[in-house]
Amino acid sequence: MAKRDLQFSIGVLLLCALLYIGTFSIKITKAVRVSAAYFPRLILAITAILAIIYMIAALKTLKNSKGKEKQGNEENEEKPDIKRTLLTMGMFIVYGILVDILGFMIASIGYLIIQMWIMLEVRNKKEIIKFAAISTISMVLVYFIFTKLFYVSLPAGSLF
Amino acid sequence: MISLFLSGLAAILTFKTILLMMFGVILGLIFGAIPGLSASMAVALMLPATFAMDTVQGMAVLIALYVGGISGGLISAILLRIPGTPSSIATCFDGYPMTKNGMAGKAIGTGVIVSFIGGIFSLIVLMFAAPPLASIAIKFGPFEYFSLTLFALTIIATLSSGSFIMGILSGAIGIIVTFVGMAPVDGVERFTMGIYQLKGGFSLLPVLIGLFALTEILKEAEKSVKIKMIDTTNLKGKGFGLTLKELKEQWANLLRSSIIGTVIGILPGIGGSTASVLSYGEAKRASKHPEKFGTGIIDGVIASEAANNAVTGGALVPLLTLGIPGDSVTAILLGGLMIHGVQPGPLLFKESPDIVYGIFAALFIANIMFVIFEYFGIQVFIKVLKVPKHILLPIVFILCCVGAFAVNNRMFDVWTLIGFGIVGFILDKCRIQMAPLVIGFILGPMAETNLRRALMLSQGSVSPFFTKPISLFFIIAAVLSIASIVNRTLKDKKKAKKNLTTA
Repeated sequence: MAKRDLQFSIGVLLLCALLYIGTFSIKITKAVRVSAAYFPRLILAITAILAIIYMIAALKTLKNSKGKEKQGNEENEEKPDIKRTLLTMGMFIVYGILVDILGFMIASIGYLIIQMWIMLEVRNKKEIIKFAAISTISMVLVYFIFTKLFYVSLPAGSLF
Repeated sequence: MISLFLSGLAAILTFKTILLMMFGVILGLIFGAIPGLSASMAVALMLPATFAMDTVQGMAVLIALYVGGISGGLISAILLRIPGTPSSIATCFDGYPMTKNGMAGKAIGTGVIVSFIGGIFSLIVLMFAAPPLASIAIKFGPFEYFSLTLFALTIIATLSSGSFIMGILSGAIGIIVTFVGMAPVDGVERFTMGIYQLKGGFSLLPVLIGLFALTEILKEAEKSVKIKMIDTTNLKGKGFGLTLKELKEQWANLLRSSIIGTVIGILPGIGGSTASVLSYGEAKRASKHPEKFGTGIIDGVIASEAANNAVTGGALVPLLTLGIPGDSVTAILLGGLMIHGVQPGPLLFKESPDIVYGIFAALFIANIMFVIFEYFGIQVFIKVLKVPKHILLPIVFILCCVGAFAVNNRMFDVWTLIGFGIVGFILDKCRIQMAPLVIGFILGPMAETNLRRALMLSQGSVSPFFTKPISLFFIIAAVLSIASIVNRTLKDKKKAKKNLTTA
């Protein structure tokens, strides 16, 4: 955990530095006494100080834990399913791209079937038919409820 | 005030609004009951559905979702030992042991009735505290407002779970996100990277839905989803499970928990889960038999459930009077109000009392509705708990996208949603807390606008922040809250060191 804290604080520091440099390209208007770059610089400085404090704390923990027993409590917890998380993230992005091309209805039904399959614990091919039915019915419902009942427009694709 | 409340009630009591509110409460209860779906998600997802409604009607539906969502959490907390919504976390401690002892019906009945009492208590506080507070707040200038936001930001950081530095850091990251777009006061472009959609900054709702809902979906994807079996025997209890005699015995606990919940609600940015845990702890400390806590006694259920529902009324106090959300759900309500063209703040009480009292009335009706639906519909909600997550969560994602798209009818907001969902998940892994981050995101522009206005007024001098009494009061409060937490952290460290050397 301490290692991740260290990486995180370094990341925050880098981000602060980058954004701080960015503040110099903010246009300064003479009309106002306090420029638009004032507040960002103030907050970035505070964030950087906090990140440094956090980094020192992480370094201390890292130093103290060295040489001591290596296995932490993390082992007791269930192992996170990284593959499924990454696949889900990927599906979010793919869906965003496909909605723009295929339109809401087709992209959503396709997304739902694949995403449900990804999240399924014990895979069974018969489930796909069930997923297809659930996806189609739920999306037709969503379409009618939102567009006809609540007058909310849904994303339209370039193809459909 | 009573006549205003009655006219608010009259505005709510139309067939269509009541029907919509019923739908809202039921949906809220479902979202509350299912672990992984929370009250904030329910409100965020249904927000676009309110666009076509008038303001009072729309807010009534959102309030119904809010109250339902907070109240639904006790079902799975008691039956499955998983809080359905984070605010029911302490309900598990005694609620689940009660189920194991064959008293599930009593636990749920008690939970429902004390939730109602907590909710109504906080509504009364809201109705009496908000108008005078608004009349004070109307006198606030930029100096007072900046000091207030400063105080709000420190209080979130100090009271949120986890380390204090991390709390402030989370808030600061939230503020940094607000730098993108046009600067307040002079409208200068900042950090837009040439993307014209970013000129207006990130829209509030896609950011909130991304951080709360999408992050939650990813967290669920990471776990292996196992369905727990629910024991549905012993669900039937007599009456509401809580006898009058018990109610008499528990009144002190009930009152204390309701007060804790309301106060936690009023303090900006800390929501139901803190209230639930804090109130449980206090009930245990004040109890004559603290050793029985955790074995399945109603005291624990009462403390947690009265407190988390009392948050609802409390959280609306700063939202309506100051425009500062009291918890994460009210942050989304704030977005809802703004989409309807209403700017919450002290002026709201003067300019549109119909909206303010309509909200009060909606809170009252929603509290009555959830008792009826949750108590008599418990079997239905238990069935809903059996709907597998791998079907539910993808559909929630689609609804998130619909919500984000509907804000401005542009795909850019869907991308904002997806981006913040993924970033939120990564930040969560780094132990960044979502509540302070979101409050930072909401209060950032408020802090900046008022700071720059104040400094322009004072010709760059900071002394008025300390010479104006209200401003000074908030600054002292902010310093005190930081000092107390630093003190506590140092004490904890000393204790830990002592323990280490003696061990």
